[in-house]
Amino acid sequence: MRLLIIFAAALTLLAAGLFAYALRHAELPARSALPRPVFPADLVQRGEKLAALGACAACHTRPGAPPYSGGHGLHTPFGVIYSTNITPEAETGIGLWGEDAFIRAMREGVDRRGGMLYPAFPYDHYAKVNNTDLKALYAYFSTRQPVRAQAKTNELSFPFNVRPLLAGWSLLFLENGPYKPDPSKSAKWNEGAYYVEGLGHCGACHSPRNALGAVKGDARLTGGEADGWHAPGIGAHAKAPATWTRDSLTNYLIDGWDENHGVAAGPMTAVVNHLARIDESMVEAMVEYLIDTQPKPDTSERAKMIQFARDREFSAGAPAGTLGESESRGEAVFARACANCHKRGGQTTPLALGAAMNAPHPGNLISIVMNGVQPPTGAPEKTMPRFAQSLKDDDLIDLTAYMRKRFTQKPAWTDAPQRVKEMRTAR
Amino acid sequence: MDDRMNVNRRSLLKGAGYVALAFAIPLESSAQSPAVEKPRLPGSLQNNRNISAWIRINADKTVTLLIGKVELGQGILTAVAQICADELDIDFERLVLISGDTLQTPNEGTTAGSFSMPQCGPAVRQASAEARKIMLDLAAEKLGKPADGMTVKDGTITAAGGGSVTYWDLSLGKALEREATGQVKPKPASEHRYVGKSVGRIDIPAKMIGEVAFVHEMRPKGMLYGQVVRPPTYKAKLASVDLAPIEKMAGVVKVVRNGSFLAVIAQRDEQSIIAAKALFDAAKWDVEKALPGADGMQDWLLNAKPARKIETMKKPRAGGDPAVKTVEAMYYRPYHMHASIGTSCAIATLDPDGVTTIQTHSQSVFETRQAIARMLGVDLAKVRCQHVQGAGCYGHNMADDAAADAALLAQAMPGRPVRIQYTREGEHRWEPYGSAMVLKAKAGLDKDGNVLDWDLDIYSTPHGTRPGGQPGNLLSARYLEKPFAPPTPGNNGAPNYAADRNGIALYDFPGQNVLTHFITDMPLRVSSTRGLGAYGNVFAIESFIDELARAANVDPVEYRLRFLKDERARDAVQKAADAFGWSKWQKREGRGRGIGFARYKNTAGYCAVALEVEVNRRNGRIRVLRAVASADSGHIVNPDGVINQIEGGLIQSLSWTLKEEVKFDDTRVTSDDWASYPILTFSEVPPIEVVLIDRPGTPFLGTGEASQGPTGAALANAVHDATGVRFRRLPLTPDRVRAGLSA
Amino acid sequence: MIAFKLNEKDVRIDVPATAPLLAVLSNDLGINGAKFGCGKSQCGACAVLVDGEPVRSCATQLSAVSGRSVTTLEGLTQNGKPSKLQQAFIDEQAAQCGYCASGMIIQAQALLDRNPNPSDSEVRTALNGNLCRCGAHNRIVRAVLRAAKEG
Repeated sequence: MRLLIIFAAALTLLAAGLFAYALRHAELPARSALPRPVFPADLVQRGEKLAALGACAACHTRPGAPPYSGGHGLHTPFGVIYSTNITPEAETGIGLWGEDAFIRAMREGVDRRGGMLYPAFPYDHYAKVNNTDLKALYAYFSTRQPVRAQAKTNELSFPFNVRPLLAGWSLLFLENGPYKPDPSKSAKWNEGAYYVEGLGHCGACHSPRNALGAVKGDARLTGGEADGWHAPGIGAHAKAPATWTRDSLTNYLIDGWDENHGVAAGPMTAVVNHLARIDESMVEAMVEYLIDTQPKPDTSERAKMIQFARDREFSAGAPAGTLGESESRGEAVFARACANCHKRGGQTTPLALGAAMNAPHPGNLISIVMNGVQPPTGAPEKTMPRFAQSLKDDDLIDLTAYMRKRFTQKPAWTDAPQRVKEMRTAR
Repeated sequence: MDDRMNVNRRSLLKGAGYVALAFAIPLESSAQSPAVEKPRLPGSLQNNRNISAWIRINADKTVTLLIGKVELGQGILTAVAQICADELDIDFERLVLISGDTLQTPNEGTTAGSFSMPQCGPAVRQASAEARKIMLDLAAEKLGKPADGMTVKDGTITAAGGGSVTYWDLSLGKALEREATGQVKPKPASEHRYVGKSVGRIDIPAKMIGEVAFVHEMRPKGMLYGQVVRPPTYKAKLASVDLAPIEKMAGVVKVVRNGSFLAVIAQRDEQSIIAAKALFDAAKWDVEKALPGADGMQDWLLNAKPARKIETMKKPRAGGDPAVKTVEAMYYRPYHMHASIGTSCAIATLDPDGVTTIQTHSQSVFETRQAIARMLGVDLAKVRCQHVQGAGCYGHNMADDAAADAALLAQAMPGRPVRIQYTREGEHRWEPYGSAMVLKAKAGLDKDGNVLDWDLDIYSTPHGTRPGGQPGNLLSARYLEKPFAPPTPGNNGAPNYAADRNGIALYDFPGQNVLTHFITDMPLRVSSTRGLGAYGNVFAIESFIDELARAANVDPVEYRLRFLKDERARDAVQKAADAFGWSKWQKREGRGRGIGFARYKNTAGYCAVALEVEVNRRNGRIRVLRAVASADSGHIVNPDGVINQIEGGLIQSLSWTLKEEVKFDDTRVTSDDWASYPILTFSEVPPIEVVLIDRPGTPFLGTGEASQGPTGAALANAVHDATGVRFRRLPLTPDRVRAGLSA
Repeated sequence: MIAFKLNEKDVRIDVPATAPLLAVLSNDLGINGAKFGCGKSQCGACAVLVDGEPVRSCATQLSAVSGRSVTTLEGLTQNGKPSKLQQAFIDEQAAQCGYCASGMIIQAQALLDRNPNPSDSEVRTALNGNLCRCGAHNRIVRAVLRAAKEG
């Protein structure tokens, strides 16, 4: 079935691609690499903040490599896509790109020579960024240290390795034009919406994608998948166990931790580490937008949820007599491996309040248990060691079953065995 | 460090500690009390006057240096080896060190109070210099030439105009078995080859490749594993317990009950832990609710009836105008843990000759041996303590308790080595903490805001319950069938003090009174923790003087220098400020700078700390951006060693100040692991620069505790500078800071 | 009987499968590197590598390493000589008491295997779960960076 969908999708793409090929993009002239252009300091500074807001380095830097020199592999359903070198180096980076080429790439997903870029580079979001900010970003990247680093060849299967087809993708899924402010809302709200929907590209992970990897327009921000992690719904679709408040969301986005939500883990760690470096007012704007669009919180429900979470964590434990065989074994694993820290007086955030416990699948929880938590910069003490080698597959399966039962009132997960196996082979 | 030296250090520890078990030449105790007319000898040589007690020249062309001080990670072995090699004119690699063995080494008391370099350093220097002189005299006799023109190179003596002989040719016998005279002059600094250089620590290489270095790693043949089962609360009494089911558990060799003291001995480590849990569950205890709780401790200290009020200093201002203005402030430091990364460990064996030999990381092998002998009711000669390294302890942790427990269990299993290593909970809940303190400061000022009258009131429980030969200071001895009551602790007088250590401000105020409310009731078990009262007192003094400077609208560095007459103190403050860039510093939103200074104990090393913080008003987090410390430790033997101590103390003090507080409710301590007693992590440690002030030719000054107090105060001062809010209650956790900023 | 590789050598051992790996390494197999610090996976003193990944041996049952490859501090040495990383710890004098050093070196080795050229802050983040009480943090970070630089 899945194969069929992909096949149909590929056909669609092919058709659109052929059509779009006729409208293909021209090569833009190279600017001379030297002398390097000079920009006003405040423009570069703004660019630096925007680059952090967009977490550009998260994808465009391989661990241990110089900033923005690319080479980081993104695992997509279509294969591995390697990020490119966006330092101003002439041959391997974007040193020959003029401002027009840069802006076109951000808006239309086309490189200087007119080649199509993969939408793993989320230009469908960046299209919403206004010209002033794109110029600031150009100024910032043009003033970085040039690094010679050849981009790695993507590992994609046919037909996704046929770049011109991407023109069809853009035709199908790209809405062009910068963000249009909503005059009925405050300036702060609009600033936040602009960041969230544009450069922040929150929807790239927090939205479901169709078979061609495009965000489903009608389901934006309802929750999505990233690297085997469930990215919960946000804004209008936020479903955190304890409803987000302005303070808690601000804490979470900057510190990577809030006492009623826990620690940012998985792909979100890099995001909050970047947000920690920009002006708090920029994050506050995003919070303004996200909280305003969120359904009005019922404060008594929130308090009840927090109380439930604390009870399950610190006193009541799992509901008496409800544990099945696997869950009972999981209880023993929890006691041995987890309860040393997840106890009264230890960790301050009850597990029941975290996104991982409440996700539709156990991928987040399994990933956290296996790989541990690398703390965000704003909450360096929130560490957790990895248990991938300490726990066997059966231990992990039993543990997730037990934790779901104890810490939520949601239906049991069914695909833990498969996800554990996937995690093992992914390494 | 440009002048860092890397010598072949691995040879030096051969024969020390563990390996030295096979090396047991009985030695006459040389600790006779000196007759009145005998000359005053330097450091610990005064009470251990025989040169051969310190130095042995061996047939295998090595030299054994024996010292009573022990390695705690502070680098003492390396530092004294440097001194010895220089005075004796031998290559560093020839030295073999033995330290802290009640059967072999000089008794230098406890390794504590930053006394190691002042006591052991001069003793080794003098003993080595005299040994060299003896060698020269022997050589003169043998070669028939005058000793005067002779030179020594790596133990080979060469006479002027030819003829040479080595130490090992000359003396394997009794030549060094004589008292030091104090008449030989040690070398001037200019002739030092090792002293003053950053010689690499002799104990470090083994620790980095997994060779045996710690008592925790010793596994003598036939060793059994013991675990002590503590009561649920301090004063609980064992009501009843059925031992039979525990005795039948896997691997259990013996279950020991002696009064309220419970323990298991098992074949395997993990079996002992499982059995100990079962034994705890099986035991019924009478429990009392008697503790004031962590949040109630400040009031408790203020309201407790002190056993004594000690006039630590009474120097009222003589005449002059009355103060125009009086300012008061109250500060609080909570209980702190030593919180060693390795839990305390010891191994004890009762040999057929009735001698119990204990390998221990105690800081006070001699006095602990005495306390254990008394606890067991045996002659002193029947107990031997040998120091083997443990995890860093920073004072009196549970090392001695572990030694005592191992000794108790060894009595139940004659001939078998019994090992104790506490669980994390066992260490966190039962160790003797650093005492909570309340400090009330009051100053009378003139019209320009200068101090006329200075008063400090110190409210504190004791800071010293080291074994000191008293079984009641060993935890388990209190629970035995015939219990030993804990003795009432004292408070050291001048010059070292305890609760009031550094209670006297070094500033030259016209009037200064320090009153110590010494409370001997102890809600929690307490004992020496790095710096004793100095941390709390310096925090208060240096916070308060900062408050006064700001009230007077005077730069805090300048204000301090107004009252600081000691030139070396002034130098330390100025050097820290200069290295920090104090005068060029630009104020930025959310950021602040602070400085703190003290001369530890007012007699040891000088240290000033300046640091910069950023305070986040939203979440209350304090980020220390950078720190600079100046250190004047007198004549520096090992520069990198001094830096390591200053920097380590600074980081530990940041951890205390930002995070640490022992939590307890009305019955028990609830900080029972690292989750409930968090300490500073890597990302929270700032870049640190240490500026050394070397004073060649002056006495060695202790350094290990010098940065503790100044750091805490510098931090609080910087937070005030950043926020305008003064925090006087520690620790400065995000919750507390946030609350303080929104108040 | 449980079989696994310890520092490249095959070992077979007949102890209960639920015994903590740390206890077996220390008391049955003569390993000094990994040390008991908390028994709760909180401090990192007991870290070893299992199939190249850092693991808290205190909270790992022996059965979990059946058929796998365990590397301890001893196993990092080359012909009894310190490895580059170990030598960097010695050269930087990256310890006071040194009790945590084994866990630090193991954790740092795992980092360098993954990222041979980490930044200062990457080293710190990777080591945040390893506790040091003496305040040797900056020395330890310097040692790791030095080892990375010397490749």
